[in-house]
Amino acid sequence: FAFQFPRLRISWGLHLRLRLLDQNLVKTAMAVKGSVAAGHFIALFCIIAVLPSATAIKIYTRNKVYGVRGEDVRLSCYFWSWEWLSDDVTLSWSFRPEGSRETISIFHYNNGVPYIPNEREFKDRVEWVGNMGWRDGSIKIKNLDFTDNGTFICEAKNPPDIVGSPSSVQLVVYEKGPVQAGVVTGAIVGAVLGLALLIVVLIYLIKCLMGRRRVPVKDISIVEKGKSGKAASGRQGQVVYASLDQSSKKFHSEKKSKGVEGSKKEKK
Amino acid sequence: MLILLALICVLHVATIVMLFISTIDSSWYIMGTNSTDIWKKCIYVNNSYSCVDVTDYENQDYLRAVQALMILAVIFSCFSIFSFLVQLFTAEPRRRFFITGGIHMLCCLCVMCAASIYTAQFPQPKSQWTAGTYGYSYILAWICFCLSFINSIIYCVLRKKGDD
Repeated sequence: FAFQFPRLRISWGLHLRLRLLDQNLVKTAMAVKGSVAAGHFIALFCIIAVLPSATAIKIYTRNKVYGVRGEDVRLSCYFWSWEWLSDDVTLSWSFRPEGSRETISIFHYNNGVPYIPNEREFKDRVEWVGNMGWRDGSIKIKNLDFTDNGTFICEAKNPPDIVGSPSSVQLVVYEKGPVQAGVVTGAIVGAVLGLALLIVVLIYLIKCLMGRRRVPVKDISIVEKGKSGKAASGRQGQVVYASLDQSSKKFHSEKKSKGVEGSKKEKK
Repeated sequence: MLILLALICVLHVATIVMLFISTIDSSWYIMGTNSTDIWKKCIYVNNSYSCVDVTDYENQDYLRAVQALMILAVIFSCFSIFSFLVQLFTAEPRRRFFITGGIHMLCCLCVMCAASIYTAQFPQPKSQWTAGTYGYSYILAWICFCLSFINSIIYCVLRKKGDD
């Protein structure tokens, strides 16, 4: 159906045509509605049909996290489950040191209670900062040291949704925070451009201020050369007079014989 | 008059293009098939290039300065062509293109500083790169310096055509 605008059809058969067009539009609208409803049904059907294979729990963590020795780092872990969050939802964090093949469990959450085992390596350093309601299972490791270099694995289970692979985040501990590659360069470029902008703005301001003081002289030159500075000279009529008296010599020395000037002078 | 204007525009655009190439392409210093740049080092290994960030030079500060200056040169040259077009169509007649010339002169200075710093500091005396030659990006940078200098002088001397 091609859409036709009723406005364009101006003729004596307008009434009839409008009615036809209306019917066309109504038919089109109904067809569109029908197709949209059908689309909804199809989408819903697809979701329901596909649902069993998509009910795996999905866990999201960052790939690499940088920490500074002696400071804290937050390891974030978010999960998504198609099922409602039940009371039996569990979340656990384990740690695999760099170069080792064994993992130790450092955090477990079950039944609304976080369990921190206080192993000798992570004694009093793990803190639960997540919120199960927001599907956020983040922990914070305090007072980092170089022995914390390694992989942290986050795993979550939400019965009956228990299929899902854990996600790991690698922690790298630096002596001093590394400056990202582009930061210094970007800072220099930004500073220079900012300085240039500042200078431009200053020059513009100074020009404005100087311009305001010198406006009477400008008006004379505009009037003398016959350009249309009507508005300006109209506003500053009295000032033009005063300046004309003072600088009458300059006016006479110009000697540009244009009738417009003479008439303007007489008007004022 | 029109020919002169066209020539200046073409020269300016050529300068901008060369600056872009010089900044982006990894060819400031070449040794065989390996090349190093102000952004990364590329080594030809097993029929493919493997590039790493240039982060383990001893004097990183100079490298950051060269990077920043080249970027500033590109930015200033783009600004100057915009301001040239703006001034061409909106400035009063018989005015000189001082703003354009000034910005282009800044660009020229930036390129000169960048290329000079690179010449003075790189390659490192004790690094593995001392046996090579300067690549075409480096040469382009110096050419851009000359062209932009000439261009900015022309802008400062050129006058917009007057009504009478």
